[in-house]
Amino acid sequence: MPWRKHWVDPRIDADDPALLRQKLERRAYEVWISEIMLQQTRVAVVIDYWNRWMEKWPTIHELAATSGDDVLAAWRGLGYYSRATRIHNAAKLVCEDSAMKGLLPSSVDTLVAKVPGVGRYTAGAISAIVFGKAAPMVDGNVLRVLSRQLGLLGDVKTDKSVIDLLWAAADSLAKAVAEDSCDGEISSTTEEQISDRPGRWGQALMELGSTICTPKPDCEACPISTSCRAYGEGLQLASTRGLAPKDIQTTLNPNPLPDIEDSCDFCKPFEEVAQNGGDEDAEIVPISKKTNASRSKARPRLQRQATLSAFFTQSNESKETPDSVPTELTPAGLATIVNHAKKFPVKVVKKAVKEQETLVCAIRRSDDRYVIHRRPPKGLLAGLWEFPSWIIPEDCENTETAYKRAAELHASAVLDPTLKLQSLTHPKLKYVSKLGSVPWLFSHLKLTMHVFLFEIKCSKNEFDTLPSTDDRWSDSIETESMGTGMRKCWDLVREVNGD
Amino acid sequence: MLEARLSQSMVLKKVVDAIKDLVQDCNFDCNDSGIALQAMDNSHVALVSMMLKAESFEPYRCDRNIALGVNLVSLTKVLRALQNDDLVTLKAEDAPDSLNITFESSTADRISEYDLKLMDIDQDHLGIPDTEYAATVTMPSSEFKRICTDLQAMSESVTIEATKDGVKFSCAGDIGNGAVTLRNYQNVEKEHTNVDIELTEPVSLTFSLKYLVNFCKAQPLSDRVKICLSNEVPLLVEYLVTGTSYLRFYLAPKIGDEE
Repeated sequence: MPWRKHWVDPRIDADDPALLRQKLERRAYEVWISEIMLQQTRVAVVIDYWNRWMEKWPTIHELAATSGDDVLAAWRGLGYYSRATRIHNAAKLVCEDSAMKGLLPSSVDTLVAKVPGVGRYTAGAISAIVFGKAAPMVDGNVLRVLSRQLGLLGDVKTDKSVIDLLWAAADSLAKAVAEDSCDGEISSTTEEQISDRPGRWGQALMELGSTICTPKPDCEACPISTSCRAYGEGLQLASTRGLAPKDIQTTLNPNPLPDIEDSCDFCKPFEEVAQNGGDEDAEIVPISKKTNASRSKARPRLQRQATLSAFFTQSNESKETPDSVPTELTPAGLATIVNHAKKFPVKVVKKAVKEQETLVCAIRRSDDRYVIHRRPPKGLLAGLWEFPSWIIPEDCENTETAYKRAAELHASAVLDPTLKLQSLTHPKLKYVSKLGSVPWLFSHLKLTMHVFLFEIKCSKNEFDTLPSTDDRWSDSIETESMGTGMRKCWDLVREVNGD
Repeated sequence: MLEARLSQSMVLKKVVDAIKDLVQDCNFDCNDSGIALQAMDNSHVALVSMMLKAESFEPYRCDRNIALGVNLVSLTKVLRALQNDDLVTLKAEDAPDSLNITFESSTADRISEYDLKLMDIDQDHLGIPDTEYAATVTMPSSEFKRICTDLQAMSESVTIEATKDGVKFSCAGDIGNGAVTLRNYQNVEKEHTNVDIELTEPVSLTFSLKYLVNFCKAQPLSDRVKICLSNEVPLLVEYLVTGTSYLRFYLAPKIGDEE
């Protein structure tokens, strides 16, 4: 990952403050861009984008000086376009600010307060990785790792109290890590120590969450299973099932605590989790959605494959261990642990994704130019260009002819908005054909785009200025900043044009 | 040292063929009562137990306990050279590096000799308790194989239910469910087609079909198979080899989750 670099140690450049400031400014900018890009986007994809971005705007000043459209163009394909606009605005703000002058603040609080689009996660990452402060960085991976480590059976997506608790835990960890000085002694100075340790620690925790402590964890390979509460609980469970030795060291208190489940405000009771399908045994076959066959009442309950060690005694060791306890963790025992760990954090049933249909009107003039429309500065695909589109209201008649008529009206309104009120089509607008439908999936929305092609028969330069300031003619759609979905629509248009 | 000569040589080949998909490496434990083998599959769900009694061999000689650590794939390669009527002789030193296997054609005009390298295998030996099974079903081995393969097409597990009315193999899968029921059946003229159900109490247990189908690879060994069941203990599937020599498979049941 190209954004992983050595920590800029202020002690090394202490005698040259100008050089140090320049290094920090650049490093902070690099980490900031990488962290924003990595939100919601896979590492493999981000690498390319990040490299190109840094080549184009090596410093925050160059980014601040560029145009918003250029920034959107560089972001094209990454999705969540408001991130790009926010970065750009923030870059301008940071460069113009008389105190910051292009250098991002080093403390989490100032970062969150002063830099738009920077939340506590990004702030923590910048503060720890760049400036070496003991700041926590908690992403989705870390939430999972920590809820397993602490045995916190909560909802880390929506339950604020659970999220805050995990942040607090991460904060204490970051502080503890920062206090361990490199030679193992606890530093006695009261002033804030800075080092590369908090940043390395935070990134290590995220990496662990993305490689080992994944939703389906590899507990056997985990380096921190000894301190993991979920692992310990799973091990105890395995031990009671005779799949692990009884005397195995666990982090759990050997004297079981009284049942305090009800008094914990954070953890969900296990039964509730199990009902939500928390206990997924590998052997259970999912009910296929395609078969309409009703579930037979004879269908067996959830069943687990037992192993023979639960029934047969190990005759070699029978002298030492009279009861059939294995001397080490059996594969089935490990599976029990992994199954238990998988219950953390609580899985939330996803809300059904909203579905929406829109009509996309490609309006072509005789000189092969098309009308494009700029989307509003807020919301989905903010500020990107698109062909004039109209979201079909839910009560609209769901027929091809109704859609065609609606598309005609919308296209006419682009040329003359007064026509829409009178439900009239523009006399110079000619309907060519429906080109097809493009399905497109956003994280929260399932969009179906119906693409219609129109032609305008007109003399040269007629309609040069369009009534809406958000509309304009374009002669090279390829170079416009468009969302990937809209680009698929353009592909349909190009196909009929025969190129 | 070990010297064991087997006139029904195909028995050896059939035994190895029956277990080689379940177990890769295992020890053949030889002592004065015969050659025994016990091994579990990797997931510790199934166990193979073989006993070739000394009486099955002529002659049989083994003065001290010898463990022959064999890779079954390698042994299969050697046994490929075995012809139907050949006599097979196994020979090994007391602490052997290799197992000497000789095939003699029935007319004694062709002798082939192989030395198979052995290995040290650390094996868990399980003590299998003597169990009075609640239900014992003896049936044609081909019938058992057919039931298992038929049901495997529908589901990955089968519930075996033995009652006084008969033994029912049922399964439920995504596409639906299915069941085969066998009743007591006696045919004096064709005894090998009999179905005998001995029952002290009704039992019902669920097992993975993948393993059962695997056990059925032993079907060529014998035209009869004995299935023993008791609630909440592993299933026993036994094929008699010759005389009292046997090949047994144990399979842990699937059990309802505790939570």
